[in-house]
Amino acid sequence: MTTTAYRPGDGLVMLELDHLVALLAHAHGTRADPAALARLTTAGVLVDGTVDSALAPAVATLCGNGPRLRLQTRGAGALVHTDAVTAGERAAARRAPSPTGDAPEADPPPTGDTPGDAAHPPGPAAHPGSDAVLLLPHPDAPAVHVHQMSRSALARFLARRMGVGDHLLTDRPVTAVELPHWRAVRRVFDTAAPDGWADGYRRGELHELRWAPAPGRPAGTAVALARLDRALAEITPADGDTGGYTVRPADGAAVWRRLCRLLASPPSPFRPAGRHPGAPAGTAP
Amino acid sequence: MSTTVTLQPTAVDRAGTVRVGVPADWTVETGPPLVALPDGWDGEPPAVVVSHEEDGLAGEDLATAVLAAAATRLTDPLVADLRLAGDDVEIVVAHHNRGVGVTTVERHHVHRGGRWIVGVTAADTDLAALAPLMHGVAASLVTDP
Repeated sequence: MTTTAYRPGDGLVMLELDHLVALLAHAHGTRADPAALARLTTAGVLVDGTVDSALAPAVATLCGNGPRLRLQTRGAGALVHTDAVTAGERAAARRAPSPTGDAPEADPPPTGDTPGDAAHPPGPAAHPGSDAVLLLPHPDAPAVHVHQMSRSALARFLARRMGVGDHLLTDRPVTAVELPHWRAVRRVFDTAAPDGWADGYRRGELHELRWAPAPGRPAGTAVALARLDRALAEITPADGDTGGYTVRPADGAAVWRRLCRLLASPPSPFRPAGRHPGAPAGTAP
Repeated sequence: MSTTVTLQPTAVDRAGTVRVGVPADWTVETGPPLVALPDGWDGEPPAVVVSHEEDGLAGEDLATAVLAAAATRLTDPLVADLRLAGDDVEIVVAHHNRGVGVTTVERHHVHRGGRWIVGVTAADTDLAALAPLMHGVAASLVTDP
């Protein structure tokens, strides 16, 4: 029995992971599992050998060379990956990409810097209002829900998922703390309720947003947040090259600006220095 | 009672003089909404809207009302920040407006039983560059004493 279900008119596009891989390989013109392709045809994802028109823009984005994002969420000992891709320039097929590109597996966040400005502009196949694809993992099966959306909508989804917005309702803000290494940050989320430096909160999630500018390029951590009940903490490398980390209450607006910068394409539209022609004398505040 | 005022270049008359500070190197076109274009900016101009309410809200009660209004009046809202400065309230909310993902910085200035509201809205794609200016404009309201 297949988990793949395709009713785009109702907003339902769910693909087993094997089927998604086969679909992308087929779209790239490389060899794909015939059994998986047959399932995709039965489901209506493939029509006469081509991707159904409702799904084609999302497949184009997934097959493109745009930035890859992976939200790694740890809590109660479980690890969940949520992947997203934003549109880039269409490139000649190199190989069948994985759904998430080549973002490496979890390792300690190397820096607190935001990769930001290396994002590729959207390619000609991308619709400007829906040039991002979110792959939401099915909770009980190796499958993903495929959602096509704008970059802004993706940014709002990621922010909410990590706890931005909800954090304004906390009655117990996080207490700042310095931790000696990443293991000390992460291990408190291996138990049903967080302990150690996060002791006293009923529920805890550690979110690391990983970002790579294109498939095959190294990924970095753009944002690391800990969600503790409704409180929100940001985790950044400690000052100095100590290998330690600083945990402090998150600034929701700053996190939001960083997400917008991460997902924006092209760069900010300021021209080089020079007064706007014909501008009247300004009024100082 | 609410009143939306049209700004002449950064000044408006309503039982006195109210000014909103726009940085010196911005050009100004009359609204509503006021369109203020930062010098050297090639993107979509941020929109500035000034309005007035006389409901007597201030402080925490005002913050609660502003939060509720954002949740009910905006499309797909995400409130990124909400701050109190005495009786005044400032909110930063991301939402979807007329097909564009935007962020609004809105400052509520409590004054003589009412409040002046200055909202600055820009596209999310421009937020990183404009955010400091947006907060500056939203906070710059000058009223009669």
